[in-house]
Amino acid sequence: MRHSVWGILVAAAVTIASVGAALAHHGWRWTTGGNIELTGVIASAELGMPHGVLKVDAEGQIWTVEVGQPWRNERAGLKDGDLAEGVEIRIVGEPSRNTDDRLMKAERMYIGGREYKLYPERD
Amino acid sequence: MTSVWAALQASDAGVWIGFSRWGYAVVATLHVLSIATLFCSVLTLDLRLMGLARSLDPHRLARLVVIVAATGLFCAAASGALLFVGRAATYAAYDLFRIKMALIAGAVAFIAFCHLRYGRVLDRATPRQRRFIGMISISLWVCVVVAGRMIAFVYG
Repeated sequence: MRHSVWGILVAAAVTIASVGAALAHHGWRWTTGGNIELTGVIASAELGMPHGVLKVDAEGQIWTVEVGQPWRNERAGLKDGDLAEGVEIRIVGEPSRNTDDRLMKAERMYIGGREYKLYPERD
Repeated sequence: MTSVWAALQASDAGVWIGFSRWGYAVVATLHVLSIATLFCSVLTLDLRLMGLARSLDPHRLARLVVIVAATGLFCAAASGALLFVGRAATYAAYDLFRIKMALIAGAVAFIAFCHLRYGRVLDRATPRQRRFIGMISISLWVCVVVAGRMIAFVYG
């Protein structure tokens, strides 16, 4: 009995650790390492912690674009209303390794010819 | 129901947690600390139920550890509620979030039922029933933690 209890505990710990490592989504480990460019119109915006998410309509294809947390967007110079439905936007950033996701994480953005650098330290 | 979530999100608390960098960081940290407190105390009680450390008197053990568990549960619920209102509509629509809430309700209801039926330290249950109760209880809490943590990864 004692052995089976410890066995269950170890199995549970290993499962949690491996699932966590495989699906990690924060940071840049899930992206390709190279940049792409996406141009489209913001279909919806959900800003706020833990990070902002835009749906961008790029010629009929809807992309999910991870933008910054409020403080990062603000630091880049973005104002309330810049990331809102209907705004035309060009985004440079890294896409998910799984191309079917249509998911990318923005490094910099262009609205009305102005550049907003979310991650100035990245190319 | 959707308008309730939208109103929560637009409330002072919702806006504060949603747009405060360090406010969010502090509350998220408190949530982790509360879960650690709750989980570890439940694990201790459940291991005793499963037959480990038989020499420990269950009444004495429970006197301290149940208070720690209850404090952890209360603080986890309070910090969790605050994190929830920052993005209420989104979380409420996630299957994993609903599963997590159902699992928490299940874990709390299960242990409440066991105490009602088998006594304050489950002394009216047979050793075999106690082992079973301990395993079910800790398994439910493991599932709660997994469901909660996976929300951040499954939905990006």
